[in-house]
Amino acid sequence: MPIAFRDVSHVYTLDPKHTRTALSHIDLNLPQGKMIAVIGTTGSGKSTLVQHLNALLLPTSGEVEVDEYTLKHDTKMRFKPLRQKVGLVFQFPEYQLFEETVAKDIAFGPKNFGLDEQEIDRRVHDAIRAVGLDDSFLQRNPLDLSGGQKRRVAIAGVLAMEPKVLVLDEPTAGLDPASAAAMMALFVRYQAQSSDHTVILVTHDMDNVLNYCDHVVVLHEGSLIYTGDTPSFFNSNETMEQAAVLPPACIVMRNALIQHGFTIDVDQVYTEAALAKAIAKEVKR
Amino acid sequence: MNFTIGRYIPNDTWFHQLDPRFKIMALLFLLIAIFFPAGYPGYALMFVAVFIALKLSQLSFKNVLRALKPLLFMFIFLAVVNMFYLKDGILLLDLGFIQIYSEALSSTFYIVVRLTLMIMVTTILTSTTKPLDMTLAIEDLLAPFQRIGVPSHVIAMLISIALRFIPDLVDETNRIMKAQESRGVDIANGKFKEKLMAILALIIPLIISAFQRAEDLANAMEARGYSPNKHRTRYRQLKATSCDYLFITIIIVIVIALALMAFVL
Ligand SMILES: Nc1ncnc2c1ncn2[C@@H]1O[C@H](COP(=O)(O)OP(=O)(O)OP(=O)(O)O)[C@@H](O)[C@H]1O
Ligand SMILES: [Mg+2]
Repeated sequence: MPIAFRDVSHVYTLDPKHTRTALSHIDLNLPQGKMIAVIGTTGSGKSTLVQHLNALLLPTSGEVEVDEYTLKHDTKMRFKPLRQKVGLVFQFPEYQLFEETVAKDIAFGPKNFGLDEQEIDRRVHDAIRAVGLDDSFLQRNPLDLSGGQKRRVAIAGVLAMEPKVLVLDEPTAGLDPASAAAMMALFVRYQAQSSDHTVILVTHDMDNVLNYCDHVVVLHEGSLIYTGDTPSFFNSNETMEQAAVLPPACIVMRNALIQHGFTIDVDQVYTEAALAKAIAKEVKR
Repeated sequence: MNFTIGRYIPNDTWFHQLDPRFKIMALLFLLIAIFFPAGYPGYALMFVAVFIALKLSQLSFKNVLRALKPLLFMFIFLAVVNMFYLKDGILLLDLGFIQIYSEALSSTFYIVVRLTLMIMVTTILTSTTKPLDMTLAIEDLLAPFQRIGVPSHVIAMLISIALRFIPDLVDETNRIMKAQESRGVDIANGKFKEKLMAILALIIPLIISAFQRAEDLANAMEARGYSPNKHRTRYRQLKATSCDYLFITIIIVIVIALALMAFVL
């Protein structure tokens, strides 16, 4: 499912006299079947960018191409089929829960898209297990769950739509480290399920980017300053500086070792395990 | 979402700087005076005063008129009802199935003029007074009634918290709407049952989050020692200046003039 932004700008109208440009002239092609990270400082336009993917926002100028759809500022069509293919999970999605039971809430999306009972039932069970909760949760009231459990249920609600593109806006914000890691593993698993599953992740956590993502998109004050694979991003100090990103400890360590005379292949070595292996090799030598 | 009525328009005119207590008092006087049967000259006087106030507060006439738009339907409805029921005065027009008398026209005209004036003066007040100042003023003006059990401070606090949360609730509504739209809710299209479901999917999370916010706020206030029954001092003190007294004098003169026109002449 190809996704492309062509000269896309988005301007928010605050009142008739005041506007705010949140995206300016974005040209971007996103690879398919990958884990993609969207990063940038607060207010750089990440949330605005991802809301274009399922037509919650339309570009003020330029066009967005998603699958067979071309979205422009005056596009008028039923967005439902598009939204079934591109599932979007907002920041703090736990606030969208409203049904009396977890099962009904997870089924809400699939039902809206007109799937039959049997299929919905299968998806509800698959989704609740995918997010690491068991079937006993299905009959509980979503409002009685803990914050982290609510978040999982909300994500299950979007997973049950089985979207080709899963977009998540800061899904791990405010979770404990173990739950955050489990959540990231879940997204990786979802992406790996099929070669045309793409996961797009807005995040501030560079370790998540380094360990789980293949591709990085960097926004800065509404402009695109980098799009490319993860290793090259972490090898370009210039880009990281521009994006106000502090490199992960592993990268800092690797660069320090190189500076002090180690020979380490920067294109290969950027995870902890790979770094350890490279160090062992050097030390043995 | 777009509110034109009651929206504060930041500026720094003479009118903006007036003490809100005096502006609210002036509004009350004028609202009463509008109902004096002062005839056409009286309303002409009021309109002149309103125009001067508009000019002084640098409000665009267009904006104020826009506040009247929602009432257009009511005006038309009133006119039609009056046409059928008021049969006094001179017969102006006979259409066979209906006769239009002069009284029907003039009484419709009076109502329209009164409502227009009321909305105009209220809009001038709300456009030139910060919501927070307004609540301070309401608290001060209600203070004398505390003796007879009116909790003036609580009322003012309620109003200011409600005002404070309106923009947040609008944001929250948009956020939830987008989240549910992502899950296939389609408010514009769809059958009646689907629409009902869409509204539930919006309202329930909104109410839950509003209660959550209220609870958080109440806890935060209590944690900082807030109690509505204790006497509190204020950071922002309202102080009347000679301008304010001049202003209220002018208003009182206008009200007296209208009363004279209505009841003496
Ligand atoms: N609904 C809106 N109305 C007006 N301005 C908005 C709206 N949403 C976002 N903006 C503005 O657009 C700019 C980009 O906002 P956006 O939410 O896309 O940033 P972000 O990169 O997601 O930030 P964060 O990391 O804080 O979530 C900001 O300047 C923001 O104030
Ligand atoms: Mg954001």
